[in-house]
Amino acid sequence: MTNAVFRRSEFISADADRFRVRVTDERRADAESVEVALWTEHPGDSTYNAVSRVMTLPRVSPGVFVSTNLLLVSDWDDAHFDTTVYGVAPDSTNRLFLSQLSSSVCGSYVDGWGQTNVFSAPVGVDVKSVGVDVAIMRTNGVACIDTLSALVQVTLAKERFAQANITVEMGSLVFFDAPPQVDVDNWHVVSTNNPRMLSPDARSVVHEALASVTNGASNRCLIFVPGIRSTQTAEVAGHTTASYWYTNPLDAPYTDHCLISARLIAPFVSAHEICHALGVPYHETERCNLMFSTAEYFMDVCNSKRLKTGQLKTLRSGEHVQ
Amino acid sequence: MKKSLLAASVIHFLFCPSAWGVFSFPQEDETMARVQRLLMTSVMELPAEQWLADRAATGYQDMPAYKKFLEDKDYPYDNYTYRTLTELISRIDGSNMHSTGDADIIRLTREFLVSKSDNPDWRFVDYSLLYLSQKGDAGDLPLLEKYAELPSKLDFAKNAGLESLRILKARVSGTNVLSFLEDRDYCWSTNAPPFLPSVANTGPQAVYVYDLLKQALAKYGDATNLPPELVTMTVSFDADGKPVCSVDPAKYGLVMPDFPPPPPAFTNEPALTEPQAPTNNVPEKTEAPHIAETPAAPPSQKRPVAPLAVGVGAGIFVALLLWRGLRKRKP
Repeated sequence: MTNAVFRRSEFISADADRFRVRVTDERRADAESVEVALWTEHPGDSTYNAVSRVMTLPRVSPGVFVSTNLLLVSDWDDAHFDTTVYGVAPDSTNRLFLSQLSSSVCGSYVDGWGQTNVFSAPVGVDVKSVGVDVAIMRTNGVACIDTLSALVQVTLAKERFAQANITVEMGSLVFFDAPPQVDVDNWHVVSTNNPRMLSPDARSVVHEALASVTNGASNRCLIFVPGIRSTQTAEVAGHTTASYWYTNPLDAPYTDHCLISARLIAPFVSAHEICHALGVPYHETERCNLMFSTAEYFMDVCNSKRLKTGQLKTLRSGEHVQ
Repeated sequence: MKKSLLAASVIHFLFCPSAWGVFSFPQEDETMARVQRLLMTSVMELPAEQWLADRAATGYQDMPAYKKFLEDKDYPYDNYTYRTLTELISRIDGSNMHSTGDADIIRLTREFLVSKSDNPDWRFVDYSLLYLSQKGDAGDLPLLEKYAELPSKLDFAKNAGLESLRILKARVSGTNVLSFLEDRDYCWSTNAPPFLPSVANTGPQAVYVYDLLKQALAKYGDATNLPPELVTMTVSFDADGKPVCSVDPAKYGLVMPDFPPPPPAFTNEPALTEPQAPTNNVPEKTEAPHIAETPAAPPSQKRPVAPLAVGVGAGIFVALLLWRGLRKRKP
């Protein structure tokens, strides 16, 4: 679901990524409709499977039957949203299919000869990928966040980037010690002298994290730290060392990586920051957009999780996306 | 660049000189502080409500601040700065049909686009191209042609170059570009520009053209059905300040509106961000006779408060003197 069209009447039919199922059956030239079972399958993770459901396809011409508009969605909340609260698309429960980029949309149809026809199609078009490493800061030997919570951030980013046809490939997960010269409770990211430069502390933190991960320079790094202040007084949930902002040549080795606060962690913080790292510079005024400036703790259909067409194209054309 | 969760001490942040050096401004300079917040939103802790309020509040009163940032020698032709600010400038001034454009900002925009024209980062030039197509003239065509010919991996950015050129070419050729959408910014993806007057009509006269074209649309039903001479009509002012149209409106069943021209954009109501055409337009799709209503006086014609306050103050002062004189006379 893109562009937050779910509030519009019949939002499924308004989505650019909608699809239909067409059946041609000469033996049923006079039939008014046929029934098809549809489901999705994920090869490695059954939590992304959508169970089989029977759909009635009305006739559009003799022997030709076409389904209503259908839509793939990439997370549980979108697939199961409460139509009595948000919904304006009739029968949306049956028309939304949970899936992931490596899933398949499958169907079966018993034709007029009594033969069962099974078909499947891969999910995703011109799929690209971005590599992500995870580095978790330790202070006095204690990790700032548990591994599971960090991995959930990657999973949620994976779900968000499905709308861009980009897979998030997990690289290494490592722990690194806080640089000794950095006061982890009081450091800040932006230089005090120049808002377009990283502070020495920020460079040290990113340097230590990058030195610890093992999956190469093209990966973006999610660096989990106890807390983040962008400036001395501004605590934030995430901050990207974006190359479009930090233009000083001295910062070049440290740019386009994401600092994530363990203290202020929220569901889509990492996905939001990865967008910055992949070249989306601007926040959006729409609260439903992933690039809205404030993190939400909720994941339901109306929260900050969508990307606009222009954002999708920027992401896919970024230098860190293969 | 960041997602904020906690409300921050924005005031302290903004006006703490040790924190920002050249980026600090006196607290009383509200417009500079607002533009600074809008520019720096990617790195500062700024609650979304504050950011949205700033975007809603910014207007002509902030133009000096925009200029100051665009002319900042510390960030000459900086991609991020230009894109952030020209987006807002396009919303404020570019889409205001009353305005012929701010000369300094047009100059800076030209300089920025020239400086980036060999290898632009398309993410950052789209609104500069937009502003130039909204307020530029024939002299800007070669620059926009150059951008339109540049390769780009980003379809929508490439479209920004092509669409800007198409719009400016039309405006230069005398076409009043039409589309009466609520969103007065360009919508690149749907190729639907708002109403943009021809170069000759860009200015206070544009509201008359706009009104006449709206009447024509109501009469002819669709922009494609309009007689060409209406699409390219011009309005100017005679010696008495009365609007004169290049075609006879009555010939097409149209009525020249009789509202006074709005004041020049840069002395207009500071918070104005959308052109507010007077509301005495001919009712659409009706045979009822045209009734002109007297529009509200523009802000610049309202009685100023300052002379009144001075007068009241002077009166109190005189009264005090008289009272003091009377007291002295008492034995």
